[in-house]
Amino acid sequence: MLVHETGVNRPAATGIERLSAIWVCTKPDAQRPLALAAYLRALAALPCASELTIVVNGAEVDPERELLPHLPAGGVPTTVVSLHRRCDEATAIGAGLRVSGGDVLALLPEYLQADAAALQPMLERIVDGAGYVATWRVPRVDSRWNHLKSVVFNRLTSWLTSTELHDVNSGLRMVRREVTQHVPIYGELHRFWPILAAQHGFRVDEVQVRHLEERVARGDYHAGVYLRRVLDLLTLFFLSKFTRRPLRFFGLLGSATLATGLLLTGVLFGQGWFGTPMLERPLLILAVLLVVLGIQLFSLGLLGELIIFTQGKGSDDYHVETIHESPRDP
Amino acid sequence: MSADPSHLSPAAVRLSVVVPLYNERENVRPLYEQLRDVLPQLGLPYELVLVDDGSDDGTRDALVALQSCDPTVRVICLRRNFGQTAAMQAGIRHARGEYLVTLDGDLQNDPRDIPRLLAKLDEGFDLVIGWRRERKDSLLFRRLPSWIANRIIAAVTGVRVHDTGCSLKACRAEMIRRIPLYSDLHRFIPTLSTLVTGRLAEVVVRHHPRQRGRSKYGLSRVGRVLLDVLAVKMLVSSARRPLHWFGRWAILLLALAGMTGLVAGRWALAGKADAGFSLGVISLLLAYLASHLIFTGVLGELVVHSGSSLPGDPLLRWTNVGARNGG
Repeated sequence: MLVHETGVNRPAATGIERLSAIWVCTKPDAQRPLALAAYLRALAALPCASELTIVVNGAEVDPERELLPHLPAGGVPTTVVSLHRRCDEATAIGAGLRVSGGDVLALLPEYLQADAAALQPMLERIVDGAGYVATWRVPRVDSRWNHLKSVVFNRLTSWLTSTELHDVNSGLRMVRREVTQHVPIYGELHRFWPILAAQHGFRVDEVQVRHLEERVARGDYHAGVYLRRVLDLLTLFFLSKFTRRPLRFFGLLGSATLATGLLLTGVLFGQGWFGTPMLERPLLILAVLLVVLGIQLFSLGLLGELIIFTQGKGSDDYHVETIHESPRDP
Repeated sequence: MSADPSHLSPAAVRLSVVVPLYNERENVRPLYEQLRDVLPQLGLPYELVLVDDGSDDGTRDALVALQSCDPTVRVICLRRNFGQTAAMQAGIRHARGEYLVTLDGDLQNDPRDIPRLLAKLDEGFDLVIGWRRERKDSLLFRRLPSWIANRIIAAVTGVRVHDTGCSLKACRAEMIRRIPLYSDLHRFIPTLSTLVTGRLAEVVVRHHPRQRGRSKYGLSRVGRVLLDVLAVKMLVSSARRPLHWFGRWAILLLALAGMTGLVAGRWALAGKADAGFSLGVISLLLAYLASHLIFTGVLGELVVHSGSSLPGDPLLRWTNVGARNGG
């Protein structure tokens, strides 16, 4: 990991000691100096001390050419961190988190897709007590088709997770340091960070930002990507609703399947009794398979319960925010 | 607030009273006063562990105000509303006493019953459960579902308790900490406790109608409770030997498969080919299910025996540790 540092610190204000912005750069970009200037401007305008951490994720981006010459002397302190190889986004963000010391963190999108001036209202929400501030890019400037895909995906997300977020893919976000400590992220799940944070009991706010640009590199949004995202979403759905009580999920599905199967079998046998030959009815196969599936689902649920009951002692169902008590030895 | 300063030393706390509260602002003060009238008379150093389960009506402020003028009060604030079991678990986890009393924050339980519960513990029991024999709730929406639920729980799990839903309970901390409590399992504390101890007792307690605040229960929980009953039954009877439990069902299915197979064969030989073959298919699938259950049981054994100490590890089975006041 290579570290370059520039700039000086400014005094704190607003009860927040320092805001660290983390900017992960993965692909070479001719517009990068413009984005850098815009971000630095927005950070300098904030009412508290701020710093910028640029994480160069892999060898494709050359910091010597794209970043370092464009860093102004003085102004917002900036750190450039280079990762030896390209990592997934959560890992890159994690590297940025380790290097930066602020008690509030802003995550900046790779290219200037949202108006960085929104950092100001986002910070106000944090000062107001929010643990996580997500953004909602409106109005969208990309194609109708992309817009539609995004709306469907976001609706599905907010329905499955019972949250009210409109734009989980927006890269501009702000979190308190304690959220990053309590709600670890890994792999692709960083998209669903606000949802996980809300489950831990942190307040999650959403701020509308102006959408400036949407770049879709070829291969970025093909069907496979969406499939993977939907699978992530389903993982999250199970994790949030049924990890502690697997039988509620499997049992519900199982009893529905079992009941349908038994009913069908009964009807077929009843008809068979009155002379309709059963072997000529493929429905019989369906009926008995439903019964089998129902019982298998039940047994899976019971196995799940057994796993949680005997192995799940380490994790708690609750998260303590504060404890008010008198000192132990007065 | 208590006259005897020995009650104020948290280091020597022996009794913890755990109360989960969710949106009970108006009940905080009266509850505290009722408890303060009762607890000092017990002659045990005590603490009040009040858990704010993410209330949004100012309950937290009321609790913190109490704490600032009474050092026996400890307030645990949860980040959001996590539900009654989680709040209870938080309180139990943070309690320091060796005896625990739990009760609801809605004033429907009467703290004046606490001495009787503790006296029962003294007789050598590990868990004393309140029994609200004369409940003061609506018949149709609370008492009837609760009566049915208690009957089902008792019948299915074999632990005969009149009122598993009563929050007023007293127990030894060491016992309750061995029981995994999560999701809505607080309803099953008496049943689950049989994994650890056999010394359960019931005491008839008073019950008052709700005066202030609103009830947080509805009828929506019926279906979930039924699935939970099944899960708890399985856990209690099989957590130590899953293969035995699944195996029993497998043998039952195998027997059924054999019987249907015989009947199917006789029908087929008697010329009723259609019925015979259909029943034959069913017989085969029953046999298949039996083997599936056996393998599930094997998997269960792997799960249970991979490095965890079970709540009811027989070597650790609870024994009486003597009376409350050291003799």
